[in-house]
Amino acid sequence: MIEKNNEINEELKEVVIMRIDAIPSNLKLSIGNDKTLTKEEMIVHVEKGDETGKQIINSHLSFMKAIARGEFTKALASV
Amino acid sequence: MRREILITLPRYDDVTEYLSQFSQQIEDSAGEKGIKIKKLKDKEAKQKEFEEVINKLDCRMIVFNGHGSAEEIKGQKEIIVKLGVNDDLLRERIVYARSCHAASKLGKECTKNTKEGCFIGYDRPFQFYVDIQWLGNPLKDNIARLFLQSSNLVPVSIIKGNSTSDANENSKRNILKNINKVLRDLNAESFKIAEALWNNYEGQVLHGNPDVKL
Repeated sequence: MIEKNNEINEELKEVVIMRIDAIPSNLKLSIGNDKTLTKEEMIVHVEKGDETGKQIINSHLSFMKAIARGEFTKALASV
Repeated sequence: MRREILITLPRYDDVTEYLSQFSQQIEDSAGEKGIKIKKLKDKEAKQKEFEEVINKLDCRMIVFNGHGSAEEIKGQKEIIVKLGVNDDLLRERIVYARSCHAASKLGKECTKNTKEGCFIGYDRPFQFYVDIQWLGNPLKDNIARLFLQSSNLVPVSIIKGNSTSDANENSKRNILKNINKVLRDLNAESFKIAEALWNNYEGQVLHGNPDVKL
């Protein structure tokens, strides 16, 4: 999902960081093999572009694509 | 093979603590149905113990809680099952792995050329949010509950007599219902929670026989 050469587009990083910044401070995320992450820790991973950062970016991308393609709305309407 | 369940319950960080505590619902369902459940808790959730128990009890169903990757699932800090090492122990069984990525390779491989084998898991990271005020008392965390109760529905539905395919669908429908619920109660957390729930919805997959029952 991330670019073919496995590098992350800087603009994409910025978008994801902006979205992460909107997460309330009382929430921590469990993702991958890491401990639960605060939003500040998530941002560090995204900025570094490490494995956890890539997983976070992929998750955001996947959600945005599902919304853009109408898959998200369609699925929600099915229940 | 016995109509029994083996469940791993490692606890050494926030993630495994939450997974293990929320597994109580699975244990309760098995109890209600009179199905024996063998628990590998904390330090028992190690490869040696897992191999001994599964060889001895020959349980039809295994539930894994723990960190994972495409080729392996961890127990208490160490790898408990790994592709090419002991994945043959999963063959012809019903397996649910609440572990990141494990369905992508391990789950696919261990159900290849099986008749009664089924593996339900995630082909990407399994995600959940926790509310930091409940880190010391996970079962009171209603945000984590949205994620972990939906995932519990895979084994719980199988215990209740559903096919693996129906159990997978029940769980996925419950994820969508929870997304609808959080979006109805719109607040600062809603979209982030919906996004992580969607990740689990898209990533939850079934390999092997969709029609088998416990």
